[in-house]
Amino acid sequence: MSLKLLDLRVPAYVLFGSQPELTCQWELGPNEMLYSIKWYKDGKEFFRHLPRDPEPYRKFHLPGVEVEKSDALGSNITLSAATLETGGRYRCEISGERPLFHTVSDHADMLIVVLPEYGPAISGFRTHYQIGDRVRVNCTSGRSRPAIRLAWYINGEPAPFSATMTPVVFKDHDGFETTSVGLDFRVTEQHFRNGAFKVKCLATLASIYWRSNEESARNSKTRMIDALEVMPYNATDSDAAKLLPGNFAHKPKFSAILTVPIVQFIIYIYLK
Amino acid sequence: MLVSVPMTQLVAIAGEPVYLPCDIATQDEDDAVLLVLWYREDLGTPIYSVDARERDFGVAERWSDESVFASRAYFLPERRPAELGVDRVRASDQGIYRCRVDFKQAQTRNSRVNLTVIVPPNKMVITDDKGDVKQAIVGPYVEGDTFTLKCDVSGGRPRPWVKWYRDEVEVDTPATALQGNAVRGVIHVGPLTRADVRAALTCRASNHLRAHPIETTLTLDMNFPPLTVHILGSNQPLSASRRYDLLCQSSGSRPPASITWWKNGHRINNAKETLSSDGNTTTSTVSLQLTKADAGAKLACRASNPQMPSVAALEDDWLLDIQYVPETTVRLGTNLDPKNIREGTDVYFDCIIKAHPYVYKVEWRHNRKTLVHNVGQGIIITNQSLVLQGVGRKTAGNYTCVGFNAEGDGESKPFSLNVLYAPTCRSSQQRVHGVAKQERAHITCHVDANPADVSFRWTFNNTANSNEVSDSYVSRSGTSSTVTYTPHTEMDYGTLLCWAHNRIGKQRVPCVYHIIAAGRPDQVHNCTVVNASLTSFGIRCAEGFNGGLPQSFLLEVRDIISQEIVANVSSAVPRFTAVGLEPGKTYASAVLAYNAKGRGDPYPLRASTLRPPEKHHVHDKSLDLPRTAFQISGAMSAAVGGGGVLMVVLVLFMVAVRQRCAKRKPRSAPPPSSQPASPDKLREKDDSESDDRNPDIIPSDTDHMQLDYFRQQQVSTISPPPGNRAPRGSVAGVRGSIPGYCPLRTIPPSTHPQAMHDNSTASSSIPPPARFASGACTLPRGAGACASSGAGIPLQHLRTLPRPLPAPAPAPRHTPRDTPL
Repeated sequence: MSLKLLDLRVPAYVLFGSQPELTCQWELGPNEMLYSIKWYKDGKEFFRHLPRDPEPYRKFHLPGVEVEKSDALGSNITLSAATLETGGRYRCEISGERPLFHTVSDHADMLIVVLPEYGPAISGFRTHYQIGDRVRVNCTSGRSRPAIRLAWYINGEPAPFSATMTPVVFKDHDGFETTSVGLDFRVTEQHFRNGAFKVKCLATLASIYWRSNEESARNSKTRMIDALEVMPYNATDSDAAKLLPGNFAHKPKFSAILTVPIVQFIIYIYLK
Repeated sequence: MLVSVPMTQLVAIAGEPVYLPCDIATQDEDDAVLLVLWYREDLGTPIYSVDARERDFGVAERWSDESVFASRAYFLPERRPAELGVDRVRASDQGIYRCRVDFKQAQTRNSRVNLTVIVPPNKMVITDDKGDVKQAIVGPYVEGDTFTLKCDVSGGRPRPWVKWYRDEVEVDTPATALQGNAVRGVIHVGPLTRADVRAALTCRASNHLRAHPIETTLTLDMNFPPLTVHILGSNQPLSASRRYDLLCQSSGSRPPASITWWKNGHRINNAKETLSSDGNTTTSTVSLQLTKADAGAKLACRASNPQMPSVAALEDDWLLDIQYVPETTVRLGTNLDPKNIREGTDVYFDCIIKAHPYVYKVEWRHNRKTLVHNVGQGIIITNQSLVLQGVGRKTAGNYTCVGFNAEGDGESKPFSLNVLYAPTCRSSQQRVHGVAKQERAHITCHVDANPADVSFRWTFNNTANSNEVSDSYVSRSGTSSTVTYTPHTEMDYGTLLCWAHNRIGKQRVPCVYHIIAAGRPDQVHNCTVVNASLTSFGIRCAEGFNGGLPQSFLLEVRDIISQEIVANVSSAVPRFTAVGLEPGKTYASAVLAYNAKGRGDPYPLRASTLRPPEKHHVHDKSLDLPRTAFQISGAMSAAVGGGGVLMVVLVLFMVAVRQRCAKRKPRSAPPPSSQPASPDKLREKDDSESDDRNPDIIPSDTDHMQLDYFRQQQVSTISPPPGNRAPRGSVAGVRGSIPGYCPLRTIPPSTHPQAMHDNSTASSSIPPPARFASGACTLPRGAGACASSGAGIPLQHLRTLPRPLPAPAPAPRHTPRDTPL
């Protein structure tokens, strides 16, 4: 048994709309001939190459799967732009010629990724805190597939577990997901550096998406009554909007237009 | 893996075929199946392939992995869906199979089959409480036992279930899993009863409904002691000396009972056992011949189970009641000496009887003839005893008694009764001896005596005297004595008397032998014609005295007219038949006797043949009825006419004889009226002393004995008359009849002897008739002549014979040496 499958490369995360490239490398034994290489997605054949068949390359249409190009061996194929249906389990199956029809195969899963249109948004953070004040804020990601992972930082340091709430993921009917996670701690003297401290929410998706939002507050030196902590404070809203333009209601379109191509570019560079 | 590839679940029983589905159908007419590949998921290489890429699918190249299905696999494309058949599925065939169908155009089609192979359990081991492995039979157990069987089943996949059944009814079976894939099922049985025998205990195990279960059936074996034992037909009486086949039956034993027989605690060994077809009943047959000694013995039949020696045998007993043929013994009365029983003694016997059942009858037998109680004959039978009063010699013999019961007749050994008696003269002897002078005669005296050791004494008597006969003329042989005697003179004729005696006594009455001068035979008499036919007639006569010598007889038949002899027949007896005669003719016949001394007087008579039938009737009246008389009278008239002179002479002679008889009369002995009665109650006619050769007497009647008796009394001059014999009632009658005989003797002289002589000269072989010697009348003739006188006691003439006295010869009689010649 000398036919060997050397390598199967299927991108695990594929940005929605990008064209995934799949590679299957094998090695024939001496005096061994190739009969077929077959590509399946979720058990269904979508491409095959039979070198000695009158029609050596044959594509079969599957939803979200369209082979755009292939090399002569059929071992490197490029799919058309990924849609959500493109995700799934891809299998490469290579068979030798008769009489034994040695067969090797391997498979890998592909996930189609849709990034959020905007970065994580922090809510509930005030502009002034006194030592001893309780800080209770939320960070909510934008809609994405799959869900965004959120993490809190205080003054640039990962927030302790005791201050981090359990993340909550909301799934919409169309499959998009929104992640939200709270942060809850009391302000101490150590938080203040130069009279101010910062909290940051980091949103990540595997290794292809990385965005954060950070806010800063000053020491008010007088402790506010507890009642004020609960009540919404209009002035704070307006402050936050000044500091974080991404949170402005009129900015999302702008962000989406600018951010997505940049990220895609970055990912493209990275993969290359 | 191929999560979206459809998978079919299949279960197969190891050893059976399985069919793995693989859909190769396509709706597109232009499409075609190029290749079918079967994979087992743990292997990278197909295990079966159908390659039709360069040929029609019907002749596609098929290939099967030798290390997997090899020739067991075969593709069945015509089925819907197509199937891969695999024969004789193995446990190692279990797994997930994938079928890949490459079409010419269509997408490759993959499908999967999850094949589960059921491996039935292959090992079942049943052990009992002791851990012994049981194969077909469990036991034997006995009633009340309980036991447990473990059924361990292994070798199956998946783990089998195990169940116990009793006679095909499932029994609650606790089961426990053992190491590996094994399972143990347990059954508890008991307490056992007789009904449990042969129960079928089945352990059955399987691991799939479709799989054949494996099972083992054990038959419950049990041992039972016998329940019953019976001697068949016991307690009825048995006959001794018969062979019986006695049966004893025992039932309920398992294995079959062993039966033994015992008599008074001793084993009887010749029994034979048979077994009923169901094996439940043993029958033992013993062949026994029991004897009287077995009465009361205990016959026992014991049945036991040879496999259960600790259980006591069952026993049936029978106290034997033995019946047997009576055993009898004759015992002579204790005061009697069996060696010394004399005539006249009273003898009695007892019959000693052993019998069961007791005799219903006792019988006595004498010389095998049954005796009847008869007091008059002195035979008295009472109970088991027999009394014989006054035994005689005829009473002697073998006596047995016979006891009768239901078993049979038991006759004793004979008791031989020996009756002793003094000698008596034996009957049927030659009493008259005709002897010529100088002729030597042997006169033998035979006597009966018990004991037979006898001695004899002889005397000779004549009219003059009585002399003892010297022993030198006498020889003896047993109970016979012979005298050799030769008369020399007239005086030597007379009577010889023979006396014998033994230790019982002397002969009371001597044997008497008359020595007479031998002469011609006397004339025959009473001749009659018999059996006349047309050509023959017979003549019968009574013979006369033979003259002291053996006589023969002659018949002459002459034609009356021509006097020619037409028949001449001689015979040892006076019975003749003349044949070859003419019908209706009368012949002159004559019958005469002759002996060595000459011819007797002929007896003439006329005899006729029958006339032819047509004339017969006439002659019947005139001739037939009076024929004899007529013929005799005719003969007499002829004799008178022919010999008148002789008749005159004869008349003169008869007158002379009568005068002599009258002179002797006073010397006659008195009549024997004083004879004593015989003591012999079993008396028979004792003619031992009779003189049946006396020519005066026709030897055809019983009464002549009496005559002889009286004559002997008169002859005897040596022994006194027997003392106490009573006269019999018949004697007088006999005496009265005697004169009737005498005339027969007187008749012959009426035929002139000379005439007969003349008529008989033709026969040369017959001695000529002797002429009467003048005055020499022999004893018998004289007697006949004397009797004709009709005077008094008829035998007186013996002493009045007109014969010459033998006086001149006394000397020779006393010198017997002269007597023999």
